[in-house]
Amino acid sequence: MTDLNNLEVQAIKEIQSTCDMDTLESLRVQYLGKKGLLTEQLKALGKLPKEQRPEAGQKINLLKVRIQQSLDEKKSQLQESAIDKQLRGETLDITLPGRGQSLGSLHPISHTLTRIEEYFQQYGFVVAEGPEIEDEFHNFEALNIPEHHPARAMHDTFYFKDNMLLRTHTSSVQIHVMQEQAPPIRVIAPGRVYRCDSDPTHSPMFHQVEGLLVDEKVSFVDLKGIIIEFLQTFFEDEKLKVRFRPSYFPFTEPSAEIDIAMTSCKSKNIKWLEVMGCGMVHPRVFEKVGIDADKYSGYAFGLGVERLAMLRYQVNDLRLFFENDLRFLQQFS
Amino acid sequence: MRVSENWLREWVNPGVNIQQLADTLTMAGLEVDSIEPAAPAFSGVVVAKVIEVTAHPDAKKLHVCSIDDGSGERTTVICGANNVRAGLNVAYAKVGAILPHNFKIEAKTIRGVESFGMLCSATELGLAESSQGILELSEGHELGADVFESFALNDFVIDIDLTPNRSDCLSVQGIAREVSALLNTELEKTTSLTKINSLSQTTFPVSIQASKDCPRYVGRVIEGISGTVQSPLWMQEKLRRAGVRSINAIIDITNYVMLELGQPMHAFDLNKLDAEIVVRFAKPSESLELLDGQVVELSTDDLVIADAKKPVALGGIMGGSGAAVDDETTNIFLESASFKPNTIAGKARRYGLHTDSSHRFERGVDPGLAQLAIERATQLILELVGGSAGPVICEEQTSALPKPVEINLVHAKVEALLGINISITKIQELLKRLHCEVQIDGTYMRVIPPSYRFDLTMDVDLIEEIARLVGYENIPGVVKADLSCKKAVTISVNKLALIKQELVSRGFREIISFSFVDQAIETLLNPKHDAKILANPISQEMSVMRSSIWPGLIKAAQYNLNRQQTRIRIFENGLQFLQTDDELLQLPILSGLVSGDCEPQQWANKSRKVDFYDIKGDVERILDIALQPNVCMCFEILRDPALHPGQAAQIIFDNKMIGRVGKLHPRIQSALDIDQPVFLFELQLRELLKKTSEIVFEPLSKYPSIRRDITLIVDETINAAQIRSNIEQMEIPFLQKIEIFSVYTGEGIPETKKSISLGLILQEFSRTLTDKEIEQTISLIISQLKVKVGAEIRN
Repeated sequence: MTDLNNLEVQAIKEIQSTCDMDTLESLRVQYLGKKGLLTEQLKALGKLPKEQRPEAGQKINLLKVRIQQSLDEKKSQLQESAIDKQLRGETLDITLPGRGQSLGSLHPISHTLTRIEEYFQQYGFVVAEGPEIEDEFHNFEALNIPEHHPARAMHDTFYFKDNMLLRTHTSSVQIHVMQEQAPPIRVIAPGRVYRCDSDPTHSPMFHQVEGLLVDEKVSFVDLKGIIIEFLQTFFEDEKLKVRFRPSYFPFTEPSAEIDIAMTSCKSKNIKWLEVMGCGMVHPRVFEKVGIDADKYSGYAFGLGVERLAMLRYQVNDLRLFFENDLRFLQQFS
Repeated sequence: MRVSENWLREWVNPGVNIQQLADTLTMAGLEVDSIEPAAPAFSGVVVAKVIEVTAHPDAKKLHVCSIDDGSGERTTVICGANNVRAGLNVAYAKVGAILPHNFKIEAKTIRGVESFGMLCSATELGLAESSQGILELSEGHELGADVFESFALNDFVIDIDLTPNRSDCLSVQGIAREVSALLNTELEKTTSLTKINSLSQTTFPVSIQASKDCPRYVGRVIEGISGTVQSPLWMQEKLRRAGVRSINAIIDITNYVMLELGQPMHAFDLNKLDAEIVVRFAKPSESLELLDGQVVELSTDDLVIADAKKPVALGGIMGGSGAAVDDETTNIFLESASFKPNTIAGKARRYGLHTDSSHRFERGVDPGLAQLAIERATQLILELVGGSAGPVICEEQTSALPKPVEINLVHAKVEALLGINISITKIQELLKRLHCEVQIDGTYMRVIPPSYRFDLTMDVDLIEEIARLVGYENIPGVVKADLSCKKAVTISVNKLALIKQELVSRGFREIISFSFVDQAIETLLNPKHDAKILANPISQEMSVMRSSIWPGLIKAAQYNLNRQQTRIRIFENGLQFLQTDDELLQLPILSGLVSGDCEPQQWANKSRKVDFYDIKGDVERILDIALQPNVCMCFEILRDPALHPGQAAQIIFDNKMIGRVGKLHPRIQSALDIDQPVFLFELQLRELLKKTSEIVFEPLSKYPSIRRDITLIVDETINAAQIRSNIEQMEIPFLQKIEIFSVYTGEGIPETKKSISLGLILQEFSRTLTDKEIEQTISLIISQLKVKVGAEIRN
């Protein structure tokens, strides 16, 4: 019996001092294997007197269970510490930046155009496009700006030798649309326009969005309604003050320029800033494109995209939009 | 149009302050740009008379003046001006006076003589940009009177940005009429013809040979005047506040009448006119020296005022120097004419001119003014300069004069277009305020606008007037409920937005460059194309229309490379302009440029420069978005003058070239002084953005796919597409995919050869492939490649 006790003490001691799986396995073989020490003990039971065998056998089996338990415990201990070790070895500096490509950016003019288009698209306005090298008919004549009209001189037009020109406004797209399509019409025409003028506040190329709605019974009240709602939506300010001021465009009548109120922090004075032009489509324009002005009426509006972008993003210099400095562009990621 | 408040209030004086007045004008479409003081504030300056002038004992250029400022005592002032003389009335800044820019006047000793104050020039008082000598005040001012008050300098100049349709407001009278209508205030004075009795019988022959273009020409001879007489300060001040420079009394008076009534006038030196005045078109090869010294070669559609021999003025635009009024002038011929706007329009600009006269005639001047203006000018000349006036000469063809228009205005149309309710009597009242004649006839009105309102010719013109007088701010804005009803029956996908977003995800930044570019770079990139050239470019760098976006992208890359940005990924979409023999194409394209490191510098990835396959990968992803999967699209070798001959591809889709991609030709790169390789792509958006048919789902196979890898040794001239197409030609039904996973040259591979490793993925939809089938297929493929491209198999 003392043999068994010694055996147990020795086995547990050896198991607990084990540091790796291989040693643990050899200990299992040494004690519990087919030729292991405890197996030998069981085999030796036959030598005992018959009446002692059950008790001795029970003791050996109990010892076997205890050694097995000890082996299992040690095994899971070793597994745990192996994982711990792996985890310690795999620990990273998670503050280091991730891998891969940087994010680019859309141009602020694109962001602005998208805002404008999305507003009008919800009311069924469809995006229309037209050529940028244009003829005098679409850019001027059909818009009721005959040759020598003072408004032509104000347009600072870029010409080509063949009398073609760079469109001075997206209003020319109105004409293309009305020539191709019968009312009801709802379009917006975003795009590049050109004026022969270059200084800190004028770019020879800039962007406009033209809008046109032609239908039966369209009135100035409708025009005011949609423009005010648009500007309040664009600037996300339902209290934005919008002012319609009489003006003159040969292709609309009545015509209006639209100002928004800029309240400065310093003074309480309202400063009005012109952002758009608009009006009811002039009957002479309808006549040029063959739309019955007695049946249909319509409104048209035009806005300067750079002006709206400058206000929205607080860009203070128009030229930044076309210098394409990456340090400017990356601010619009 | 600049108008002084005081001058305007002489004509109409409503009970509102200047700001309210300006707001009223602005909200009626006469946009007030600015309100500025007529003169900067100054104080302590009084009218004084120079009594005695003596030379300064110790300074040649200075004068010691003894002056009387009305106080009864003489004061000594030192003055350096040449025009100071005894008897002259001057503006005297007393000790303690404060001049503009807070300049304080103190007593000081100048070279041993004490000076108590200063005699002021117009510049020093802020009344002129520059001036010679001190201000000479006319007689009749009380000595000691405050100059700021006596000259009504407590005045403001209102600058109105008039729209081209409102030529009737290019005068004080016109603006006064408008204010009167807007504020419903009576005019203080009205213009009525006051005939000046002629003292002499001198006339001058006038004939009109172009009466359609000049339907009325009114003239008058005034004799015995002096060209040296200056206009009085009150007139000079009114002109100055209107932005017109004072020249001499005669010219000042013609300008004054133009500003007051709106009729441009001209005064000729009668003695310099030969025999007669003829209004005609210029004859071939005639020329004329204008008042500004410019000699213009006239065209036969230029209307001129001529004498018996030669043109003496460009009609309605500018006088000639030959018959100009000068210091020696003693007799003048005054002109007050009506020209047809279309005849004058564009002519001034032809010679780089824009005059007060052409500005008015181009827009239209009331023909009724000609006679009125000449009488008013005569009255002023006789009063201020003297002389004796001859009878008024009037040549006209009344049939060529604009006729009054009668406009039918339907009440319902007013309400329908404006969207408001307004009674017919209210409309009548508003239009009458504008001096329209209105007759109501049931539901419509017959309206005759006044002769000066050239802009009112049809019913919408009147409707706009009604809206203006109602006030745009009093018309509501309503978004109608039915506006939001859906019109389109399709849901369109904005493919361009998806593509741009993909580029952004791939690190590209969108740029916007000018559509006109430098001809040099355009030609470098596209030497065989005749780019469309602007007739009036802003500069050489912006003179031709781009045939691709590459010049703009390259310029942006250069700009940023010069600013320490060496990693560049940019794109732009817009039109390309291609001029072929018979048509001009304006096609939407999308282009990109990459250069420098492939990824931003990072600790985790080795830095690598971009190469052809990086940009090709970007292009392929765009094509994946735009085109249907499995469409017939391929990359083919491209020879393009802009691109590296060995690293350039064109994209063929549906037998059309829809794009190109490659490395900027090293020769061009070095010509442009760029010190790192640049890669470019260009895609035709019209093809890419075509609506693709909807995706149709294909059922998935339940059976496993098998992959077999083979490595081929081929001649280095054999390209991947040849290998792929040779396999595809075999039309093996269960060959799902060919993947190229390695391309290698170097050690172990003979020179002029390369190895290519292919992964062949085989799968049958309805069953598992047998080993035998697989092995047979692979060896068929290998023997095909042996035959077709001379491939050897590497173990």
